[in-house]
Amino acid sequence: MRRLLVILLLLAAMGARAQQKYADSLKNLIRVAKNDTTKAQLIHQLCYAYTWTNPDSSIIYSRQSLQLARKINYTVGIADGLGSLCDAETVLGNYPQALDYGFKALSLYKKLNNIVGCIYQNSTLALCYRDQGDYKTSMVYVHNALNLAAINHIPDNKVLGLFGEICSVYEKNNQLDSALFYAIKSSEHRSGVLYVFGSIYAKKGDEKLALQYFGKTIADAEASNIQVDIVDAYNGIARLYTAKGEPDSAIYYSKKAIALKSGKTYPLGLLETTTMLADIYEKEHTPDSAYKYLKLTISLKDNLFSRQKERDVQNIAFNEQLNQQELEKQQEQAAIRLKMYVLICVLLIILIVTFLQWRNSRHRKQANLRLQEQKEEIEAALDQLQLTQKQLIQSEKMASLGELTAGIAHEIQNPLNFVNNFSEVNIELISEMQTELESGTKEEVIEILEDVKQNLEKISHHGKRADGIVKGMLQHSRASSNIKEPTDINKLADEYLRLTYHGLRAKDKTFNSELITHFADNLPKVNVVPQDIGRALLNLFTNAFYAVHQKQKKAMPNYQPTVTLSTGMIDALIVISVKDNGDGVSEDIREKIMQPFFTTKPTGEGTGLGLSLSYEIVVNGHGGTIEIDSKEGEYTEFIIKLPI
Amino acid sequence: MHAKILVVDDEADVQPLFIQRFRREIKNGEFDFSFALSGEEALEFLHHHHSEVVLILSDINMPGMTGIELLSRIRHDYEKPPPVVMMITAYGDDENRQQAAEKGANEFLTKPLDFNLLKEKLHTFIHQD
Repeated sequence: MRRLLVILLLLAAMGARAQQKYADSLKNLIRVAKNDTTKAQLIHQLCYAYTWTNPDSSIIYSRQSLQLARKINYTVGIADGLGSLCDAETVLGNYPQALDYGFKALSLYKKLNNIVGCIYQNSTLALCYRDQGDYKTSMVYVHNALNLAAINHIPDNKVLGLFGEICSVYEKNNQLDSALFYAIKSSEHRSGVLYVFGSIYAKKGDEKLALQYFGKTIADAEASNIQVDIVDAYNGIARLYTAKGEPDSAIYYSKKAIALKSGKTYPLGLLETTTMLADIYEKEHTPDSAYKYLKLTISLKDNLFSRQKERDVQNIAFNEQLNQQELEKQQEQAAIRLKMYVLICVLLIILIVTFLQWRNSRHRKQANLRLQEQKEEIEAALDQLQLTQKQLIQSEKMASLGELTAGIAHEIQNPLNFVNNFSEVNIELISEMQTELESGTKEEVIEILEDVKQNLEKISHHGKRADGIVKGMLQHSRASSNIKEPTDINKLADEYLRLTYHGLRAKDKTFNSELITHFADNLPKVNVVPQDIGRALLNLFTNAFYAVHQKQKKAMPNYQPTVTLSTGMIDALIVISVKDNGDGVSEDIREKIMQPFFTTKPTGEGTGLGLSLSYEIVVNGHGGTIEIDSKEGEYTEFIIKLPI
Repeated sequence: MHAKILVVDDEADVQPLFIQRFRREIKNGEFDFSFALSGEEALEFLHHHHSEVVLILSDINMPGMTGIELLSRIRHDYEKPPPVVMMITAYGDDENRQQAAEKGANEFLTKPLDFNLLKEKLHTFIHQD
C-alpha cells in the first residue's frame, strides 16, 4: 500500500496533538520492532507524518528508512524512501534533489512493476513540477498517473490521494472544471483539497464560496498542523482582497501568512506572499515596505529558482530523459531480441521441417530408385525367362521329334515295303507279260496289265504317303514358320495320331492301345499352321496314350486301352476331340493342367510344357479353345475348337 | 500240298501284295492265303479255322492287339499242333527280335519284306511239316 492514502487520511482526522501522539507511537513501535522490514516500513510512515508539517524531520527519517532498506535489500522500502524524500524536498523547494529522488523512485517502482507506486510517484513528480511553475511537464505526469490507473483498472478508492494531488495541478494550470472534477472525486476534503476548492472558486469569481473554503482550509490545516496549507489559504484570501481592491485586508492576511515564518519550511508559499505584498505596497506608494518585500522576494526567488538550480533541474530532467530513452532502447532491444529469438525459432522449425521433408523425399527417391532397379531386374529376368521359354519350346519340339523318330521309321517302312514289293511284282508281271505276249494269249496279257496298273497306283500312293511322312517330319523339326495354310484336319490329326502311337510303341513294347477314329465327312479345310496344330494334337495324343498306359500297367482285367480321335463341326467351329479311357483327371488338376511346367508325370518323364504349348498354339495362335472334360476313373477328353 | 497261311497286318494293301507276290504259288495250289487286319480278327479266324492254318505271318505294330500279344495268345491257346508263327516288323531292333523269340516266334522278318527270303522260309517250314 502506498503511503498517502492511509497516512494522509489518518492525519486529516487527527488534531495536532493527536498527530504528535501518532508520531510518538510510531517512534515507540520503531524502537521495539524486531523485524528490519517492519522497522523500515514504520520509519517510512513517520516520514510521511512529517512531510507537510515538518519537512526537515521527514528528510531525516526518510534517509534512515532508505539506509535501513538498502541494508536489508528491501527494494520497495528503497523506492518508498526515495519517494518520501522527493515529497519533502519539493515542499522545501529543493527541486533538483526532489526530481533526482523522484525519478530514482519511479524507475524502482517500474522495475518492481509496482503499479500503485508508479501512479503515486508520477503524481509526486507532477507536484514538483507544479511548484516550479512548469505546469506543462506537471500535466504530463498527471496524465501518466491517470493513464496507469486506467490501463491497469485500478479502482478509484485505491488512488483517492492521487485525485487530491492532481486537482491542484489542474487548478494551477487554470483547467478549473477538471480541477473541480478531481477535487470532488478525491472526496478527502483535507486542507490541501479544501484550498484547491477555494482557489477554483476564487478564479471562477465566486468570492463568497472561495472565502468559505479558504476559511475551512485554515481551520483544517491548523487542526492538522499543516502549515503549508495555512500559508496557501492566507495567500488565497489575500489574492481575493487584492483583486477586490481592498489592499488593507490583503495586507492583513498576507502578514498573517508571513507570521507563520515558513521561509524555511515552505519558501514557495512565502514567496507568493512577499511578491503579493511588494506589489500592494508599490501600488500603495509605500516604497520602503515595497522595497523590503521586493528584496525578500528576490532572495526567496534566488533561493528557489537560481540559475544553478534551474540547470540542475534541467540536467536531472535531461538525465532522466536519457535514462528513459536508455530504458526504451533497452526495451526496444529486448523486443528486438525477442523478435530475433522468435525468428530464430521459426527459422529452426522451418529448417527442421525442411530437413525432414528433404529426408523424406530422399527416402522416397531411394525407394523409387530401388523400385526402378527391381523393375529392371524383373524385366531382365522376364526377358531371360521368355528366351528360356523359347529355347524350351524348341527343345520340347526336338524331344517330341526324337519320340516320333521311331514312329516315323515305322511309318516309312510300311509304305516303302509296298513301293519295293509292288515294283518288284510289276517287274515279274512285265516279264510274265512278255512270255504271254509271245505265246499270244491276249486275255492273260490284259489281266496282267490290269494288275500292273493297280500295282503302279499302289506304288504311287505309298510313295506319296512316305513323302508326306517325311515332309511332316521336316515340318515338325523346323522352327514354326507361322504360315497358315488350308489344311485337311482329318488327315493331319490321323497322321499325328499314328506318329505318336508308333513313336510310343517303339519306345515301350508293352504299350498298346486301340485307336478309334471318327472323322467327319466333308470337313472344310481350315487355315492353320499345320505343324503347330500337329504339335498341339501330338501333345494331346501323348497324354492320352500315357493315361491309358498307366491304367494298363495296373493290370486291370478286361481293360482295353482305347484312344478315340473324333472330328466334327459345330456352328462355324471345327471340333477335334481326343478321348482316352484312362484314369481321368481330378478337378484341382484340371484347373492347373494348362499351366506351363505343370506335370503329373514322374520327374524326368515330362517337362510340363506339352499342354501349355498346345494351349498356346490353339488359343493364342489360332483363336481357338481347349476344353477338358473328365470323369475320374473313366475318361479324359480334350476338345479343341478352331474357327474356320 | 495245300498250306493255309494267315497274314495279319493292319495295312490293307498287304493283301493284294501277297496275292500278287504268291500268285504263282496260289495258282499252283501251293499256298492258300487268308488275311486279318488285326490281332483280334486273327484270333477270331483261328477260332474257326485252327486246324487248317499251318503258318501265321503277323505284323507286330498294330493298333489294338499287337503281334507279340497275338503270338502269346496263339502259343497259349493252340498247343497242338503248334502253328508256325513268323513275325514281320518295321522295327528290326534286337529288343523286338528278342521279345518275339521269347514269346515263341519261329521267325523274325523285317520290312520292307524280302519276298524271296520269305518264300524260302515258307518252303522250309512247310516242307518240314
